[in-house]
Amino acid sequence: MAGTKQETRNSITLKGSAQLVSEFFYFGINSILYQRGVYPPDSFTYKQQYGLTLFVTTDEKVKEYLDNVLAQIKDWLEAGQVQRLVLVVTNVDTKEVLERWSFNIQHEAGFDPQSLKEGKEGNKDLKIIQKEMRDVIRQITACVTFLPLLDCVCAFDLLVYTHTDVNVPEKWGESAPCFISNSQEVRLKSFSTSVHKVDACVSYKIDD
Amino acid sequence: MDESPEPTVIMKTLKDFNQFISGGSNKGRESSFGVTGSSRQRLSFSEANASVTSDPLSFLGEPGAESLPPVSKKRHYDTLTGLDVCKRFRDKDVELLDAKSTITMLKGRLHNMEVTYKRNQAESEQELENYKRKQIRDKELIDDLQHKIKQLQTQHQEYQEEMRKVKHSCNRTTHEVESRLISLQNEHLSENSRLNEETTMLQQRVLELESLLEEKIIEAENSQCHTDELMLQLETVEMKLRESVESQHQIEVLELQLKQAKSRIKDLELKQEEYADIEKQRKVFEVSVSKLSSVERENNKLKEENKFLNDTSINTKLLEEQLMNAKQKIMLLEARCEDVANIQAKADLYKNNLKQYEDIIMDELSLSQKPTLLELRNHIAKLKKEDKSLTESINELCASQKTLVICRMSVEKENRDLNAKVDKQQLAIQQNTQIIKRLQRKLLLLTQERDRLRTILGTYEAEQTINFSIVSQEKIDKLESTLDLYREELKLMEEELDEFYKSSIEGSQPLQRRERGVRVLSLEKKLEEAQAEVRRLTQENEGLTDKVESLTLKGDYNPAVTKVLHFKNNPLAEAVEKRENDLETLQKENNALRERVKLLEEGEQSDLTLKVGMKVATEGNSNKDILELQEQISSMETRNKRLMEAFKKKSQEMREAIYLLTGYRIDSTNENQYRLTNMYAESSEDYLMFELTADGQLQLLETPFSSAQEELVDIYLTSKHSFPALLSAITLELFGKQSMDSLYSASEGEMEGELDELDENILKRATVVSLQRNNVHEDDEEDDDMEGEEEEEEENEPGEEEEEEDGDLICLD
Repeated sequence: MAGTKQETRNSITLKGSAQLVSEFFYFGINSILYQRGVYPPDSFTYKQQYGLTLFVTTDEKVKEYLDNVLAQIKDWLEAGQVQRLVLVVTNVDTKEVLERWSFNIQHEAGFDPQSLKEGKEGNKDLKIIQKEMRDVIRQITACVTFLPLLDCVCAFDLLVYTHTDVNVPEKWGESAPCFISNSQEVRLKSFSTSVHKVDACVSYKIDD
Repeated sequence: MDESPEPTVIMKTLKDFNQFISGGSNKGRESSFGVTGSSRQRLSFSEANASVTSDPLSFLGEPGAESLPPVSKKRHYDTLTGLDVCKRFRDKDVELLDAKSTITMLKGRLHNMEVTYKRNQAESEQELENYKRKQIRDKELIDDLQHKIKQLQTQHQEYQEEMRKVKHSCNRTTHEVESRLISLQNEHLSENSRLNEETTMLQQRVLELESLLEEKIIEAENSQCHTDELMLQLETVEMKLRESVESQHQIEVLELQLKQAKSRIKDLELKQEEYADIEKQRKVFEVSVSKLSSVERENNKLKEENKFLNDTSINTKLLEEQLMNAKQKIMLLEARCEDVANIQAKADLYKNNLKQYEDIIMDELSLSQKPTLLELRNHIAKLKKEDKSLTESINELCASQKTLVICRMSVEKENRDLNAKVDKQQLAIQQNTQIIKRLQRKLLLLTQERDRLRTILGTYEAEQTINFSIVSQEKIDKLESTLDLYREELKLMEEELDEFYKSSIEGSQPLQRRERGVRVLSLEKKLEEAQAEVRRLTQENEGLTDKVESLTLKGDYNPAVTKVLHFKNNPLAEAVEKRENDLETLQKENNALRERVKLLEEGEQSDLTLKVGMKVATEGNSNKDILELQEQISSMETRNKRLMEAFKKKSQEMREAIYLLTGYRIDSTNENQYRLTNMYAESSEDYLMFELTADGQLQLLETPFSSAQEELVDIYLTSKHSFPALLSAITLELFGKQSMDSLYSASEGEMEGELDELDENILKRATVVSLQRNNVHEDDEEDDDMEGEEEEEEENEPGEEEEEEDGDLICLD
């Protein structure tokens, strides 16, 4: 009996892509927070994702914050208004910015918001997308080897670079870009959902 | 006074009084009595009580005689004591209250005591219980311990028993071991004896073996002898062996010889066989030779036959050839027969043709008869001649045509040249027309300009009073319009230039080519430059893109397109806020603790926390207030400073201006005193002093300089009361002196010419006149005076000339 070969088409919609990207941000941010020791390791639990064992925070406040922010980012991604997401690690005592984890978001060629609204869909195997995401997270983990030790009380903040015409929700406000004056940049790998392309990069303060 | 009778008396009187007042109302009396009585009983008025309770009989006994007097006594007492009784009552009440309070106090104490007693009891009970519990615990402990001891004892007994057992077993084992030892010793002894026996046996055997050995040695000697013999025998055998070897060699040689002989024999046998074969052949030949004659005969016969056959074969060949020839001839003849038929047909055709030709010739040549060949030939010759003449004429015609064609070509060329010339002329005409147009335009412009100028001139002529601004405005407007026209002209010119360029490009003259070459060169240069620039720009672009990339990596963005948002309630903000709160609380705590330490050091001990709180609160407030006030003060100070600076600057300017305008430097030395130093003063010692009195009037104070100027003071102050006039007069005088000095010293100066012939007096008088002229204005205000002076100084030269005249007039007077 020869089975009928069913054709499987990988279709990625704008919403699906936004979902994938925000999910990646969730795990990426959690990984950074764990790897950089912004929160104590015992406030993390592990979870299987992208074929890796990733650490996810159990701190209720952080969880709530991330849920809020990522939900908003997802909305903006669907509207095609996000340009960049930046995780800033700051020294609480001196308010000096120590690290910037930047995720540059671009629409792939031919997938501008207008055509996506008209129902254009990307086609890329989910496994390949997840493999690319896994590679980025692995690189984030590997960055710990060369990044300077954070031996002070640190806190993080998420900056979202959006278009100027975006509607700012009530709980959101404009922020300074939090540059590092004396910084070294390292470009990380990137991934693409065939709709969005995300380039990762970390810049950190060089010790004098 | 006696103490004891007094209260009783009082009481009695009180009783009586009450009875007297209340009459039958027993209740009130009783109640009032009850109160007092009870209080009395309660109070420790033991003496009074006693007297009340014990004395009545004596009282009752006594007053029998004096039943009336008590009333008078009472009254007496009343009159005597009056207020005293009330006072005493009050005192008693007070005492009573005191007593009550003491009672309550005592009760409280008792209560306390009871409480403490109860507490103590409870505590003691508790302790007792604790002790009991302890006892019980101890008992349990003891029991436990006893139990343990018992256990230990039993264990001990068990151990002892075990010990005994072990000892027993030990003893047993020792016994066993001893018995074993004995048995082993016995065995050892027996073994020893056995071994001794064995050694003896072995010694015997050794002896036997030694004897045997000797025997064997003898036998060996014998065998040696035997071997010697055998050796000898062996030598002989060897000799024999050598001999046999030699003989063997010989045998081999012989064998070889034998083989050779055998081979020879075989050869010989072969030869013999050959001989036999030959013999057999010989015999066969002999037989064949005998048969030879008959064979020869047969041969001859056969030769003859052969000859005959050969002849016949030649004949047959000949016949065959003849036959072949005949056949060929037949064939040829057949072919000829066929040809003849054809030829005859052809001949008919030719005949027809000939006839037709002849007819044609007849027709053509218009011969009456059939022409003969000769006639035809002649005719043809004639025709040929005619033909020749005709061809010649054709040739001539061709030549003439060629010449005509050449002529036409030349004419066409001329025509073209002429056309070109015409074109050129037309171009020139066009250019000329353009030039004319331009010139016309220029003419138009010029005429317009001329008209405008004329209008302007007309306006000039028309209006005697010229309003410059309007005229200039008009002029400007017109000029602007002309400018616009010129601009248009320029545009047109540029367009024309473009057209010209185009036409020049279209045209293909060598000059233009040269120009074009030059232009091409310049364009190439430009191209190279442009390329170089492009390269530079691309490099720059690359650098800039790199920079942009690095900047984007750093997080830079375009604020026109992008804005940065973040969740307000983010972990960083929370952490920062928390840290600040912590810091604040810590600082507060620190301050409180510091205050506490201070207070402790000062020796305060009670209510420390309260005081600390108070102090911190007040200090905090006062600190804040102080800080605010300090800030205010500093801001005020800075403001003040700025104002002062501004004032200083302004006043400096003012003074400068006044000094320059009036020629006087005004300093205020003391209060209300002003020192005026003239610009032209000979020394700094020459100054005037003025004082402003309380009622606002000026007074001239005496100085060496003022006393020197007494004359002027007399003129202007004493008679005219004008300070400005005095000051101006002094200025003029000093100025005159100085300029004169400069004149004498032959130094340069503006006033040289004018002041040449002027006398000092004349000058003075002149100033007086001029000042008098202005006096009306000057008296009003000092400012006006200053302006007057200013004007004077500004228009020094003309003024002086006028003064000169005036001076002359005065002189004449």
